Order: sequence, then C-alpha cells, then structure tokens
Amino acid sequence: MRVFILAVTLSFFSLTAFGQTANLEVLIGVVPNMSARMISTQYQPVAEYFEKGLGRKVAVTTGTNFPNFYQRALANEFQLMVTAPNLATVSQADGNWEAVAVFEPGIPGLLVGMAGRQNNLEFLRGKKLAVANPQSLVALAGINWLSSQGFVNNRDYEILRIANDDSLGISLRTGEAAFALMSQGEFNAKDTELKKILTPINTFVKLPGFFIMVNANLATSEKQKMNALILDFPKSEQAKQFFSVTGFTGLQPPTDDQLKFLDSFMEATRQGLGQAK
Amino acid sequence: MLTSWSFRKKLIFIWLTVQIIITVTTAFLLVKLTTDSMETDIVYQAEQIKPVLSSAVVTPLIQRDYASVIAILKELVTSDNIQEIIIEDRNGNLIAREPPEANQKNKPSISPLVVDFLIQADGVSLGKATLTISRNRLVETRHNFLLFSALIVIVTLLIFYLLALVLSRYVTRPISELAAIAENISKGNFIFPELAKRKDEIGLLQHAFKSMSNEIAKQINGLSLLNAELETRVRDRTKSLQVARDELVQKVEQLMLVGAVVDNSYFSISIADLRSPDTPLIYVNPAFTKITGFSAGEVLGTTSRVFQDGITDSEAMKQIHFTLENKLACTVEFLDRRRDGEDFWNRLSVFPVLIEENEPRYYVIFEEDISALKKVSAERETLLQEAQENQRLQSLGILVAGLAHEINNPLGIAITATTHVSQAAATVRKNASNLTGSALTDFLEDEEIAFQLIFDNLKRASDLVRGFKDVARDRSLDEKKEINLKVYLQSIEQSLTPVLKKSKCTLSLEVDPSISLHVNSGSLGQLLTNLVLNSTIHAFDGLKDRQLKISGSQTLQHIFLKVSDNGNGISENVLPNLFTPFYTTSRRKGGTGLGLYISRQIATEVLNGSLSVENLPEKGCEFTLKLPRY
Repeated sequence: MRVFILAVTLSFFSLTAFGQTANLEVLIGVVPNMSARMISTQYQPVAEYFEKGLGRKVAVTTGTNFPNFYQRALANEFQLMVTAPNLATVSQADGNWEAVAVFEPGIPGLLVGMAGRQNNLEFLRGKKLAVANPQSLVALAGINWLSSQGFVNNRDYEILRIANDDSLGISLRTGEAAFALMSQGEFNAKDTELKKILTPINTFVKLPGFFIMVNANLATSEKQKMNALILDFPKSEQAKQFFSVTGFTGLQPPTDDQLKFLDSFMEATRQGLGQAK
Repeated sequence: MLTSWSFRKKLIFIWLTVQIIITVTTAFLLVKLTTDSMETDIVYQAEQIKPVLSSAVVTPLIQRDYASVIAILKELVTSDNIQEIIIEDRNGNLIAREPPEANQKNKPSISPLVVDFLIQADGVSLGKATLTISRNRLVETRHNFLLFSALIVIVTLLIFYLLALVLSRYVTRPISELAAIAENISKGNFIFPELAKRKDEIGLLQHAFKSMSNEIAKQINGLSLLNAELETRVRDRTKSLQVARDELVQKVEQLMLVGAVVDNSYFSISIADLRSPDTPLIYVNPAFTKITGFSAGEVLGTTSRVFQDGITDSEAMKQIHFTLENKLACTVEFLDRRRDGEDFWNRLSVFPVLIEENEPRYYVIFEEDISALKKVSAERETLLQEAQENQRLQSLGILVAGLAHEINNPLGIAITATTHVSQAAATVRKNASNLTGSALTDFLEDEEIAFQLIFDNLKRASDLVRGFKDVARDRSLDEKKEINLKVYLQSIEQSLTPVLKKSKCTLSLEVDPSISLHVNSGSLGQLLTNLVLNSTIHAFDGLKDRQLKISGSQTLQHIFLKVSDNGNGISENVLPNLFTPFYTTSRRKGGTGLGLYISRQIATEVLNGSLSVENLPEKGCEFTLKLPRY
C-alpha cells in the first residue's frame, strides 16, 4: 500500500514538474538605468505584449547594478533583454545574445544643470559631475566629450557616483554636483516638479537607442517567434503605452554603423564592468 | 442556610464574597483589557510591517535578488513578535522563508496571527507575502498577569478576611450584647446593664438602645393605660354602634313600612326628580294607575303633567305654577279626566322634598279621587241648607206660637168685653120701658169702660202683629241694616217670651244702649234665638233656678255679645265637639246636632265674626259672639 501511495505521489510531482517546464516564465531583463520599480512599471506593457503573443507568463526584471545585470545576462537568466548599446555589443561578443532591434530615436546624451543659473562648462571646474552609472554609454560618451572640451576627470572635476539616476536631479538641487550626465530618456523620466528646476545644457552625443536582444540558447522556433514579436511590437496597443512613457518612437534592426560605433566602447565597457566587480 | 448563620458569619461571608467578586472582576477586566490591547497591538504591528516589508522587498523582487530578500526578512524576523515571513513569487513559488522550517519546531500553544498580502509595484503584482506574528508574548504576558492577579487576589482576600474577623468582632460583639438586652426587653425585663462606653456609632446605638428601652417601658405603661381606655371606648362604641344598628334596623323597618304604605296607599303618589332635565317622574305607586288610568311604564321617565300645563282646570294649574315657582306646597281640587275619558274629582297636592339641602330635590305629587266625597259633601251641603231653613222656620214657628199666645189674651178680653157690652145692651133694650136714668148712666159708663178695654186690647194685638211682622220680615229678608242693639234684643226677648215661660226660664238683658251696628239683623236674630233655645233645652236638666242673660259690650274694633246661663255647664268631653255638625247629646229630645253648627256657620260666614263657648267658673256656660264693628 505504502509503495502504491509513493508511486502515485511521485507521478503527481513529475506531472507537476512537467507542467511547470511547459509554462516556464519568460524573463525580460532590463538594464538598470532607472530604479527597479520604474523599470517594472514602464516595461509592464512590453510584458503584457509578450504574454499575449507567447501565451506564457512574462516577468520583467533588472539587475542590482550594471555588472550584476551583465553577469546575469552572461548566465542566460533572461530570455529577452533590453540593454544599453555598449552592454549589448559586449553581451553579444562575450555571451549568447543576439541583437534583434534598436529603439528609436537614439539616446541623446545630455549635460544637465539647474535652471536659472550660470550654466557654462566653467561652472564645472573644481566641482563634481553627477553620474548614475560610470559604465553607462552616456557616461562614457559624456566623459569623452568633456575631455574633448578640455575638462579632464579627476583634474578639472570629480565624478560623483549616484546610486541610481532617479537621484541625479536631487544631487543638482542639493548642490552636491554642478552638472549631471544623463540620457534624454532618463531626463524625461524625472518627475514634473524636478524637471521644472532642471535644464539640459548640452546634447553632447546621440547614441543608438536601447537594444532588444534574444537569448541565443532558445529553441530556434521560439527564437524566431520572439524575433517576429519584437519587430511587430510597434504595431501593438501596448507599444503606444510604452512609447508614451519612455519617449521611444519605434524600433529598427541594428545597423552596421551603429555596431561599429559601439565597438569603440567595448573595451571601456568591459573595463568598467570589471572595475565594478 | 444563610438565614441560620450568625450576624458575624454573615458579615464575614458577605464581606469576603463582595471582595472576591470585586477583586476577581477587576483582575479579569485587567487581563481582558491587556489582552485586547496586546491583540490590537499585534494587528497594528502587522499593519505596520506590511508596507515596510512590501516596500523593502519590491526592488530585490524585481531584480530577482533573492539573497537581498532573505537578508531583509532576516532583519525583520529579529523582531520579537515576528514569527515567520514567507515570500512567494506570483506563481506561488517559494522565494524566501525566514526562519527556515528547522527553527519552527517549538510551536506555540496559541495560534499566531497570519497575514497574507500581495507585494505590488505600481499595480504590478510581484508576489505574495505571508506574515506570521507570534502571540507568544501575549500568552506569556497574560499568563504572568494571571499569576500576578491570582497572587494579589489571594493576598487581598487574606487581608480582607483578617480585616473582616477584626471588624466583625468589633461590630458584632456589641451587637450581640445589644441583642441579649433586646431579648430581655422582649421578655419584659427593661433593666439595662452597664456596657463599655464607646463614642462611635455602636456607642450611639447603645445609647439609643438604652433610650429606646426606657421609652418602650414608658410606652408599654402608656399602652396599658391606652389599651384600657381603648377597651372602654370600644365597649362604648360597640354599644353605640349597637344602638345605631338598632336605630338603623328601626329606620329600615320604618322605611319598609313607609314603602309598603306608599305602595298600598289609597292616594296616588308620584315623585318627580327636579335635578334631572325635564323633571321626569321617577316613581308612581299602584294607586296612581288606579286613579289616573296610566301605568307606571307609561309615565316613568316622562315629565309630569304638573310641570307642563297638563291640567285642564286653569285656576288649579295657575295655583300649581305659583307653587312650583316659589318652591311651595299646595293642594288643589279640580274636575279631572282619567285615561279612559271618565271624569273624576281630583284633589292634587304638590310639595317639595329637601334632603339635607336648601334647594328641593324632588317634588311629590299626591292625588286623590274625591268624587264620592264631593258627592257626599254636596248632599251634606244641601242637607245643611235644609236644616238651616228648617231651623229658621222653627224659629219663626216659635215666634208665631209666642205671638199667638200673646195675641190670644187681648183678643179674648176684647171678645169678653164685646160679649158683656152686647149682653148689657140686650138687657137695656129689654128693659127700655123701665129704664131708669141711673140705670142708663150705669149702662153707658159700663159700655164706655168695655169699649176702652176692647180698644186697648185690640191695639195691643195690633202692636203684637206689627212686631211679628217686623221680626218675620227680618228673618226672611235678612237685609243688612243699622240697628240699636238693645232695642233689637228687646224685640228678640219679646218674641221668645212664650218659650221662656214654657221652659220656666228668665231672660235678662245687660246691653249698653249706645251700641249700634250695621249687621244682617235676621241672621243675628236667628243666631241669638238658637243660642237661647239651645240653653232652655239643654242647660237646666234637674234645675229650678233657670236664668239666662244676654250681655253686650264693645271695644274699638269689636262688639261682644254673650249668652250665658247658670245651668249645668258642658262636660269636658262634649265641649270640643260642640260645634261639630250632627253631634248631639239629646237626640231623644229631638236634637239634630245642627243647631250650634249652623250658629257658628252664621257667625263666621254671614256675620264675619266668631262664636266660641266656655264653661263659667262657678256654674253654667257662656257663648261669646265676636263681631267686627266695621
């Protein structure tokens, strides 16, 4: 009798495990350029779109920081990934990720200061530049641009590392930092009251938008299905909602120029990620 | 059982019972309040932890940083009350559990508070948290509280028991002493022993008790006296009540008698209620129906005809109206009509009845069928008139008889004288040849005397006839005229002379000659003749000296005529009935019993005076006729 009950119990658990594999949750990893809560909220339409398209549960996650996110991406924790362009090229080179599309428009890199005060670059001298993530492409491009303008890190100014980009504006308001580096998207995501006292001083670069990548380890059919869903996303209702929140307008397959441009940041990116470890 | 206990035992029992109830209730309430408060704290703590936990784990959950989640849970679980926190993802998969199962062997005796809630980030469900808040501290606190309370209760009760013993001893001993004294008092022993002096309430009670004992002794003595007095009073009152009862019985019997009399009365009796609207009849006796022909059912509740002009005789109705308006009484007689249309004479009396009030409450109406009485009365009236006429004729007869007697003598003398003259004339004619002168002279002288004698006697007869004529005319015409009393009485005396002679009575007159009066002289003569004749017949039985006297006197207002005799007087039993019609003591002598009745009728109704009689002090009696002068 006991053998029979054990057999029945084992069979039940086997079936349950099979069911769980069949309905395995699809995880979309989003680069932690914003607070985890904002990422979860903003990418909810994307999750709904894929849930509908795949017929499976879809969850949005992010990393605790860039390196953590990168490590998890390399560990194939996600099936889909939305990441910064430089991280995308590194992940594609070092991991099993394939770039499917790039959000449009590109990412304007902004130097942001407080509205209503002296906002030329000289104001930065001897002060601090607020950066949420020094490994981010915006930060790397911004530092390069400042160098081209004659402002060298640790000589003319210091990098003020801010825990997340939500707090960038706050560091300006409190006077901790003279300027901050952030993308147009990050600027747009600031709350209305904060945006009233902040002002973009310079658009120093226009980077390619965030990359949408598919895990190469997925089955081919699944991967193809996901690719198709990604490229059809702008046509969906969820895309309108998503674009209205993020400022994105559409998506396109990545161009070779974009990839070449990004290749120039690969080493710096790897270095940043490594230092961050 | 409780009733058989001593006061001390009861006092201790009640004291301890109250204390136990108060202490246990207080402890119970404290424990309950504390428990409720802690339970509220636990729920409140859970509510406080929920947002903290939710907020803390949102980011790691999004980031799938489960290590951070576990670290957060570990931080929270260090709190005393949080027994366990479980975080599951939205698929129900366990993400974190603190503490691990291995640490949960010591399950508490009381179930913990388990709170499930969703962990959400801006509406996006990230999973579920199960928060288990231990109630161990609550149980422990309650347990300690109960132990502490029980200890306090026991100690308190012990203290209160000791206090109760002391207090009861302090209170009950003097009470027991007082109880013993009270028992002695109840047995009639009022000697109050000396007790330890106290200044508290017990002392006051002892003092009051002593005063009460003295007062009771005094009151008992007073009561004994009062009792004796009361017994006397009760006896007196019983006696008076018995008398009152007898009187009441007598009254009831009288009332029953009156009721029976009223019911069986020959008279119709009806009673009208003045207090009710329309003064309805509230009672009629059987005689009412017999007399009027109306049954009680027909008239009871209706207004009596007396109050609504229901009597056809206007004079009678007028008199009744006047009576009712002035709340008086009256009796009227009128020709009435029964229900069947038959006429009858009704004598109706109406009088008010007052019952301890000033205003009349009822009117009683008496009715009597007096038709037979009326008939008898009419017959009697006729009889009396006839008798009166007879007596008048009798009086005239006596007068005529007297006149005849009086006129007989002069006429006889005149006849004798005429015979003598005739015989003398015949002798002269026979001896004419031989007639001498002296013989002729003698004859002529003799003739002259004879003719004078004839003339005188015829004149006497003529005067008598003229006097009779006057008296007879008076009696028959009875005109009112002015007379001189003395002259008139002399004529009466003259007319009675034969009767007086026959009865051997003498009549004397004592009258003031100046008295004159305007009167019905015939009636006066008849009255006086009656009185004189009555005396000659009745006053002198067995007596030889028979004297009658008529005296007349006057005052400013009246004239008094008195007819007295010196006869036997009137016996006392006859005197009240002397003027009653048909009452006589000498019917064998031909008395009708109407003479004096008619005399009084003449005195009162014709002459407007009065007639009375009394025995004289020495002998005889005296009739007094009192006439108005004007």
